[in-house]
Amino acid sequence: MVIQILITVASIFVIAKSAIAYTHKTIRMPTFIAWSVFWTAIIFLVWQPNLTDRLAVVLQVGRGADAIFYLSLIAVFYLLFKIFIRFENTDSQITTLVREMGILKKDIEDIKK
Amino acid sequence: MIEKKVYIILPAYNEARIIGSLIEEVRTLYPSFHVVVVDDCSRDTTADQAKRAGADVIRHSINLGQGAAVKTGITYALREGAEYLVNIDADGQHSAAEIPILLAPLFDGRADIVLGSRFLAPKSNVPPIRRIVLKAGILFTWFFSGIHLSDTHNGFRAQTRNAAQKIIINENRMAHASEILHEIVRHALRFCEVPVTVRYTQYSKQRGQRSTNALHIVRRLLWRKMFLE
Repeated sequence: MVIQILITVASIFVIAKSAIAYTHKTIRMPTFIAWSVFWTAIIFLVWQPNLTDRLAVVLQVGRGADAIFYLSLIAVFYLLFKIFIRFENTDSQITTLVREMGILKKDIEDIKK
Repeated sequence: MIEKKVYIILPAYNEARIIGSLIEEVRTLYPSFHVVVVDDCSRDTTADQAKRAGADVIRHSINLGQGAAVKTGITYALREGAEYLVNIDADGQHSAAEIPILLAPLFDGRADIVLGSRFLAPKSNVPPIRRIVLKAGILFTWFFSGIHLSDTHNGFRAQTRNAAQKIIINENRMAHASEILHEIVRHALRFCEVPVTVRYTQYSKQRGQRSTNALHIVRRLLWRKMFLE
């Protein structure tokens, strides 16, 4: 029971944070909806663990907990991939910025001469 | 003879000990060539030494890597109207006296890009482990880019303006050398290899890339191929 309450509180906290982020326009509507649906589903599954057994039947894995584990693993890998791509883009933007700054500084030095 | 606009590009990181004499050597041998040093945020006086020796110096405000420095030098040289661009390592591994060997096929119109090969030169004293890693690199490049060379990851190369405009370098660090080969194939550029000496001095061995970097390069290239292209 304690773990169920803790997970529920944590999920509500994440949904609330997402709502605030959405109102501050730091995340977009699709991200907010996807995040809210995901954490609402977590709350449902925590209180109705039998639901995961149906999922296990659909996915043809042994137990409901296994189904959740596999799906979580896929989700984590996907998120990791998204973070890597974001990191690559940021890296590329910083590189462009540093390059342009370097050339600009050289131009300014040449003008001053 | 009409003077050709040649830019010598030196990406440099903490090369204060040697950069000045290298630039002076280039400027003495080829007074009409332009020398561009891209200081990749060195912690020593590389930029000052390069300026004092008469090079155009562009300084990165953070350390990005050799690939990024090469691209900065090329971007600057193209903007300045370079017709021919030569890349040479700033750690003294390459001999400035061999620059004409790289430029000759470009001047003759036989190639768009000329790659230096240490394995075609009799004088190169390649250490045994480095030799094995480089040979593995040759096989990997053949498999990865479909280009069969006698040497890969040799920073001594020359290209025409047209080739430099086509080749896109996205890799900031050492993998850029493989990326260039990939780009040669992608744009069907005419290339040739020429023998160049690589001097493995105590200093250049300390400064040069470690053999273990090869794994990092392979990982970067596979990652780019799978997810970023």
